[in-house]
Amino acid sequence: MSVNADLAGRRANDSESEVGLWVFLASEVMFFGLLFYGYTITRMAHPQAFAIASAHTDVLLGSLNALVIFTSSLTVALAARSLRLGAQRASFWLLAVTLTLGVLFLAIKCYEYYGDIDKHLVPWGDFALHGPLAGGERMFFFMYFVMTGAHAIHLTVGLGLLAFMLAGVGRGAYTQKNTEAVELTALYWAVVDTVWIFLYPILYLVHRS
Amino acid sequence: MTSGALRLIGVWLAVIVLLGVSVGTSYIPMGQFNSVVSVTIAFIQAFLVWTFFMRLRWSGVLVRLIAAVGLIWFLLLLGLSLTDYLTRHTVGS
Amino acid sequence: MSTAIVEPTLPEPEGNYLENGYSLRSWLTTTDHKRIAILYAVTITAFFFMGGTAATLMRLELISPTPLIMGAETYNKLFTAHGVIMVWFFLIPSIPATLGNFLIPMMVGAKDVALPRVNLLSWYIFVLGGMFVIVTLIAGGIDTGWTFYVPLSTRYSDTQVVYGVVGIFIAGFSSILTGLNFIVTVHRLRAPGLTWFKLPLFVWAIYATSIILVLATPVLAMTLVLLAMQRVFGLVIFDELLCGDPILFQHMFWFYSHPAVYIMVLPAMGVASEVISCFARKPVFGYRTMAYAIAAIAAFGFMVWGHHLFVAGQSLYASLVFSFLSYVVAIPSAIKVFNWTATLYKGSITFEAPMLYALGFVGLFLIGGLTGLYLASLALDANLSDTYFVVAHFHYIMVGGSVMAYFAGIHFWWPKITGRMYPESWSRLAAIVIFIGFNLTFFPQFILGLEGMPRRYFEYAPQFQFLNILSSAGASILAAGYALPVLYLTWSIRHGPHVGRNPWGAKGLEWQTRSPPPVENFDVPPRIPERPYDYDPEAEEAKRK
Repeated sequence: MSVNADLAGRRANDSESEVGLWVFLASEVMFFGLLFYGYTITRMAHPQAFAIASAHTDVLLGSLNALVIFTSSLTVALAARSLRLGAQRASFWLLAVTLTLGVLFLAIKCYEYYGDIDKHLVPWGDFALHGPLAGGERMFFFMYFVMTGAHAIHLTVGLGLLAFMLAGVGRGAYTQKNTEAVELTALYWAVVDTVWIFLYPILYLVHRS
Repeated sequence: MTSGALRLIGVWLAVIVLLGVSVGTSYIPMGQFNSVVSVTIAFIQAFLVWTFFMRLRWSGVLVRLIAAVGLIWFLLLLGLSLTDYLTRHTVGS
Repeated sequence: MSTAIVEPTLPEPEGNYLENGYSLRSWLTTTDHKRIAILYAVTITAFFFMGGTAATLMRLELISPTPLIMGAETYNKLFTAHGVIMVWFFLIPSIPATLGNFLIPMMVGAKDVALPRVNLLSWYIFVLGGMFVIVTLIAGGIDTGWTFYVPLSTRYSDTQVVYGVVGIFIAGFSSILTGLNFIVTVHRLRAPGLTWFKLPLFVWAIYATSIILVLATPVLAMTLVLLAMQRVFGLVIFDELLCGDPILFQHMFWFYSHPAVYIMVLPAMGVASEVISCFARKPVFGYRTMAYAIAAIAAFGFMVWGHHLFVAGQSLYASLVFSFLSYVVAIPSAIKVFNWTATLYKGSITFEAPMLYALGFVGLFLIGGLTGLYLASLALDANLSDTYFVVAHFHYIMVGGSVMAYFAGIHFWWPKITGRMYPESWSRLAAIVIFIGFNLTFFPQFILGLEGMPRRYFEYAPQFQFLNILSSAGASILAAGYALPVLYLTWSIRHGPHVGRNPWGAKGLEWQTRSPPPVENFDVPPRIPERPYDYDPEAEEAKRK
């Protein structure tokens, strides 16, 4: 296979690990799918409460995080691509950037959680929102914490994988002939990114106008 | 820089522009259509990510099938439940 | 003299997978799918007898309409323990993780599963989840039933719901990894020339089951997380007092748990197809239809969960849709029963123990399936819901169907797994005792349900006592029936006569290798037959005369 052919022709057969990872990703879709499902049904029951509660989320930090993680899925895709083309150094630095962006995402998220707690938006104990729709508003923030929490756990796992890949590429364990681990990590990371693609509009943008 | 890398950067630009559109439109009062627009944009962004960053465009039939099955099964869960939730209050009330 | 070296009859190669290390360590660190299958078999057998003990104690209590040996709370904990252990720690892994693990690589002509280390990992996860649940059930117990319905499980129960839920959550990942492994194995490791329509139906069935495992299990896992969150943090999504929706929990739960029934019964159908075809000496009737029926059951099995919610407050229109779809699933199921029957027609039938179990499976599955139609109809279900009719129905499917088929499979492939044969007459006797004991236990429960006896109570009206005593008597026969195979199969491991490669004259690839198989399954690449189930009943009859 020539150096540039990897992006040209369709590969007829994907490797066993790659098929395995895709099956796992389908499983992940159902895992998060259940949360999106719970969110949808609950929002249908409390449309107004969800609109009001959503306006209390921090849209600036949420959007910033979207920017960070969307960019990180580009850098990880480029990292895998560089390794396929034999550019180990480029791959190493792109993985490092991805890892940094991932850590940055978590840092921003923690800062945002800190603000949420400060504003008493945690849906148990002394909840900030009162009034007739408080039940539905609690539910919105319940889904907010569970969904972003589940996402953060997946992201943390992804950070571990990235660190492992970074070390591997650094010491030359993964090269052009042995790209699979890095490619699978890139796939996983892209799914973590995809989850945020959907979380962002349904948590932050429900009612801004 | 090769054309392949440029293509990925182009896709990233598209995703970011869509993010901007999503934020921008959410401040225009459109009622329920705000959510329709932002979720539609999310689907387009996800499609771009899966097609290019996750390389579905260059994958075999099997991998594409597996990717599709995940989405279809989620829609099955949601769709069949809606037979309940969209009609629950129309009977006996 | 040098010509003698290329003699066509080479001596049998030495060594098999059982002789590849005898230490405990060699077992606990193995990545050999055959050894992992045996690890699973030992584990789930232990779980089977734990769950069985709980059932025995319940049947003992139910001899009398008034309290006999326990209080209501103990009884509630027992039926929860019975359900949780039997569903998640016996039935779901039963055929896929033991027979599936042992046979799938051999049936596709491979050396191992696609991801052998993941396979071992899934066993460890299973054991971890199992230990969690066992400790929970012993230290305190859970009284909600295996379904964990809210608000009972979130608001009212003061038992160890959270720990039990964590155990099931952990075990779920074992299911996902096992399913994932089989999907990749069937897609990627088939021997050259072994196309989809040359695969045995057992492979089709396990493949379909794996898809369900991978797509449904994560839904259960996340549902249980939400449940635990509500219990621990007082969060509100299912809480009816704080604008939540308890029925949403039932939707989520049954989106997994109804397909879970097909996780249990599809592999059983696979086993039955192998066994019946072999002992009727005929190819499976309508092989392609059978394969499509498996796929149809797996797909439609996902669309019927709402029939568990007919009386729960679900919209009537939704109930109509789910009722219709439930009837649709009956079509491929019926096709399978008709085709097994047609396979027997003009076959050269012999009644070895695996065949007795498999025929028992077909009959009991038929009764279980037909009574399922009663429950799928809206009007009848309103009366039968939560009665013993339901209990009898799903035990006919799960015990009469899945467990019978599991035993059929164990007896059929035992000579391949161990290289030895069990005592013929004992095994036939056990099959008959189990069949009689099963029917005596569960048939009276259909009548009890029709007469209106509700399930999950430890006391009942005195007019139900006679049928309950019948049922408990049957349970004791059933228990004896289940003890028999444990005794004679264990005996046969050391004392049974050795068998050759193919004691039944069966046609699958796994019978071409030695018994027990070598570590890499085949000494020489297996010969791929022209078509699956290449039996010839007329030649067999002629040979017998």
